[in-house]
Amino acid sequence: MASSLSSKKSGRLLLGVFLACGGALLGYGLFAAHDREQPPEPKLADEPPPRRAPEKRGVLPRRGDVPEQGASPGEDTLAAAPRAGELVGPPQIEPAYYQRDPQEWQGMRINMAYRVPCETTSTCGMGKSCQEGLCGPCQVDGDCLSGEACVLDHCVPNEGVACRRRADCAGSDELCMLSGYSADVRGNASMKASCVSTSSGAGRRPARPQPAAEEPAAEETAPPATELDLLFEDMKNEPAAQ
Amino acid sequence: MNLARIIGALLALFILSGVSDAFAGSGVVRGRFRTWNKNGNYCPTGRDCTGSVYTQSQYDNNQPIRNVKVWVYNDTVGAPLGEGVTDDNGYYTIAWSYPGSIPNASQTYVYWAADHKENRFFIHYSNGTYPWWATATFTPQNGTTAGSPQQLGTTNHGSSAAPDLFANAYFGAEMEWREALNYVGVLQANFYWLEIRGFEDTIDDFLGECSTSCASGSANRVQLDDSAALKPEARVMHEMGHIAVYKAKAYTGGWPAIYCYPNTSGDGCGWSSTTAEWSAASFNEALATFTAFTALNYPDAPVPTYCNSTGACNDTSHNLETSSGSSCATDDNRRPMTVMKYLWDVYDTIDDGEVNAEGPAAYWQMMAVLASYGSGTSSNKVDEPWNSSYSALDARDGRAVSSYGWNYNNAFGTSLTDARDNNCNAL
Repeated sequence: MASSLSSKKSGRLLLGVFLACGGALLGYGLFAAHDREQPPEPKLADEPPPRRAPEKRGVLPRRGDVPEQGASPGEDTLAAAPRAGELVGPPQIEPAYYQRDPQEWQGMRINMAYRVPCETTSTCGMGKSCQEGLCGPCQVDGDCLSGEACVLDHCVPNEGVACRRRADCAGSDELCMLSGYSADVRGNASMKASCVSTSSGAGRRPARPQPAAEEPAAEETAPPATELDLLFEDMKNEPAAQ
Repeated sequence: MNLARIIGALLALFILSGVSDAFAGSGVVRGRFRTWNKNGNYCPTGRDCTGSVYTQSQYDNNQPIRNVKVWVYNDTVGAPLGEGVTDDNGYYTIAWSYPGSIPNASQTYVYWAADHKENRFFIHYSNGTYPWWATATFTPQNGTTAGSPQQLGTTNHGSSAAPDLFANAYFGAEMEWREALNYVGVLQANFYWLEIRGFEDTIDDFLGECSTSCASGSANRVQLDDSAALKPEARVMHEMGHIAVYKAKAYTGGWPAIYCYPNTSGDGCGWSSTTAEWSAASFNEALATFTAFTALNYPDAPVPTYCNSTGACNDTSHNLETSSGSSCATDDNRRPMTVMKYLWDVYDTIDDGEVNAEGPAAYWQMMAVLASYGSGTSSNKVDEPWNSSYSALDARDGRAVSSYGWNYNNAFGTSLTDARDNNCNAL
């Protein structure tokens, strides 16, 4: 009896392992297939022209590439830069930009031909969302993290969302635009969506010193507002030209 | 016993296959990219560089690669593992992830291509493929976070003896966008996907033959000639200025023989900053250059300069602040340099005998005004040089200083007559 129970348990366990393995392998296969067989976005008339075949000189690291010898404190310096020919390099893929309503702003459209794998949206950069194992454009707010909204295919922090589409803007020459990416993991910490008049502009910043060549690394977990963010604030508040 | 072995083997296979955890690896890397900057047109040490954006302290040393796209990549995987952008100091912080164990993990690297982070422009080889620059290879550390990232240090490219020309072109182009075009709403809306290729005099299936660089607004392309490298002001920045003019308000270009002054026919004519030109040409070239020298200088710069050089510009013959005043040479009012001085006078805040001083607050207006030009070929309209049927030119001096001033006054209520009078009454 005991032996029989043990045998049954073992059988169930074996079946479970097979199912788990099969499921996982199937899932892995689907992921890989999805990666390979993702149909390219339809080409648009205003997309850049096709590139020619890759050229070998375009895919080799430069001989002059050298690691810095005096890295900032706390930073590890890589032991050696790759030698020419050591790396194969990224593929020379023609970009295929995610389509957006032509009535909307066309900036910062997402390249669907070159995508990063993901498990959760939190690891996707450049304000993207994780969909079916790949980082890409969001469709609805629910595709983004808590506290983010989906605007123009990007996840934008809620506090930065003043518009979602052109129809939200008052002026006939206004577009709902994104302020740009920031250099944090999500790439959207300071991103804003605002109505910007095409007949407006921002005041140029007063003269300021350029960043020092040896400026130490800054903590990136909560990046400060960038010059572009400040500019965008100015621009959206600038009265339209007559 | 056999059953236990089978289960054990399956479990081992299960684990080793890397699919027991759909995403076995993820982490965060942080580092910095710089390139050896050898771009000319800096304000040299010893000159009054007040208001200069680009000084000699940034020349002939490593400078950050700013606001560019960056990826984590592994050759064996053959796909990106993470993506992000650099900041104004060249730093990036990128999350990576991979479903399972990364094959040949130690051969992972981070690279950047000359793609502006917001798709404003791309810099490619003459055949359309793109250059890229990588860190040394490393093994990604699983579990690293944004707060405690895997530090990759700083990667530099090029050297004083062998600066990377494409990375240097990116440096100039990024400055042109960030310091000039970026401030103009209509360019925020319309300026993107510009493809820049270099460095060849002739690039078939692109812009063809142009031995001193060229731009096509309708094609959204810039071609840099084979000696255009390291001359940002007169080349990559200037050509981007042409694209900006077109993106502000599309116009019908291809003006026949416009560079052949005083002739109205001919082919293959060129222009220079100090020779008489048809005013449509001299103004168009000066306006494109204006975006370059204002990217390099704030309006309080006492010695803004323009030149086509890999070094610093001469501060006498190429000083834009030295207005011609009333001592004008023959045909001075047709010279692109005169128009450049006029535009600088409109913009600058230096007291040099004229009242115009739009300054930093109204800088954007100087390009945005183009969007206010009316459509058509009559006086002060966007296609003024053309006859009404667009079959020939009938106003080669149209669409120049005069119409610019008229449209500026019409759009913003500011007369630019004083600056014009101070510069040989430029046409």
